[in-house]
Amino acid sequence: MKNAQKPMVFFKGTDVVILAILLLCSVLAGWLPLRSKGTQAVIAMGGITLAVVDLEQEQPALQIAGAEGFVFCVADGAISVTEAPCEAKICCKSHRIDAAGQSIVCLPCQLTVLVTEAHTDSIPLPDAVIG
Amino acid sequence: MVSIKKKVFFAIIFPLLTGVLFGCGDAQGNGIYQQTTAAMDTVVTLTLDTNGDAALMQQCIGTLTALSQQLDCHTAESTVGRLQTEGRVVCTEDTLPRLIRETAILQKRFGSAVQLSCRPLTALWEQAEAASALPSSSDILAAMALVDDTRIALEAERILSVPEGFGLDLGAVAKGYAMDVLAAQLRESDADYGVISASSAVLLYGQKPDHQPFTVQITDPADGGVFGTVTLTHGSAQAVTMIGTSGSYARPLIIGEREYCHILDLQTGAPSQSDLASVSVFCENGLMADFLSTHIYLGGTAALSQHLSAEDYRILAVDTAGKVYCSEGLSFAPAKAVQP
Ligand SMILES: [Zn+2]
Repeated sequence: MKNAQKPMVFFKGTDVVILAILLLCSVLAGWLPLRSKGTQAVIAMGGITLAVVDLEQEQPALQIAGAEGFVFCVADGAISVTEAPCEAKICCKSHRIDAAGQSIVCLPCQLTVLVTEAHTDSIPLPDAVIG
Repeated sequence: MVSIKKKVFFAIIFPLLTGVLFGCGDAQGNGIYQQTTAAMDTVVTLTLDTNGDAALMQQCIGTLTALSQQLDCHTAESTVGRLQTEGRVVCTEDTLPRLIRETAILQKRFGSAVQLSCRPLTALWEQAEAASALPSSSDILAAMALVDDTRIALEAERILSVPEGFGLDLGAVAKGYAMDVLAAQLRESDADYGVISASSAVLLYGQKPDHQPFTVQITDPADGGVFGTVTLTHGSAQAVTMIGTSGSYARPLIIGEREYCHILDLQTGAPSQSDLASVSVFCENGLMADFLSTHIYLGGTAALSQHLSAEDYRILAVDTAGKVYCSEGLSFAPAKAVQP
């Protein structure tokens, strides 16, 4: 997200302010739509969806019916698993996720948390996300 | 916190979304179904136009579950787990022997940067992560001495044996191989369209109902966002594209305060320090796509040119500086301005 704008040689005070604003705008314009932050997390057990969680609603200790023993934390637009009934607790060690397509899985419990994004007609969803 | 827009969205779109998740087909099984399941150590999403074959979705999920149970090195009861503890195992199915035979063919062509017998080394680094302490160089050397795929013996096509201390970790190939098994299952069925996505391995099958090209979004290794989109067109009804991706960003090993690449370099016995950030391979064979994505990642930019001009697979690679390398003929549209 680097801006290729080269600074001019002659500056006035107002030029610097305008330049700074332009720079900020270009960084924001480039940053905002491209990060593809997910807006919701689909929590499923054995392939059955238990809940779709809004990632913009802070929930530090979210518990969900059907996923007993699991505690999720929704904060800053991201979700993580903080407690789990499994032995290895690999799901609890997984990083918090916030980008569409990212997932946390608890294999022994068959639990999946998948971040998805709200889609509109103008931006068609891809057939698959890889990575 | 929830805006009115969001509330409207949840009231209107939410029921539609859950509809998609449970399937939009009719009672005869016509239409497109989508289901998500946990298998192969990840989340697998299956989207299938079953064309009247109502049982196909469950059969595919059954295949994934069975493969997970056979190939997982982390469970003692799996075929791979029993091979490690008992040193010898009689396989009731050809699944694992075939995977080993097919990997050996790839190693003959591309070299042994990817080895199935790397379990002693992956186990060592898993222990290091659990203990928050780097393994000693003598421990690394001892584990490296136990990594050698030529020591995996296969008798009478079904009896596998390995020397003491050896073990298999199929992490670099299992998902891709599973995609091959699923593709064979789809070819035998009446399905005419399918997308099976297991995060680092994707299977595209047949043709979309609207005959539009497939679009595959590539994850940005730098921030986990969208890096760009690859568009793929299938010319025939049973055409298959397999995609395998390896990258430094996925599932890092965390030891102490530092993050290390989860892909181990078998030459050094340590986490890879490749100058590539992500490699995606597109071809017709899932095992090959999975194997090659790790192989090419480990080789770094120095070895890229031979892969960029390969005839039977295409690649899209990004180095740690953000530079993109794309095979000719692969249609890639970056999401943002990238270095040429
Ligand atoms: Zn778990």
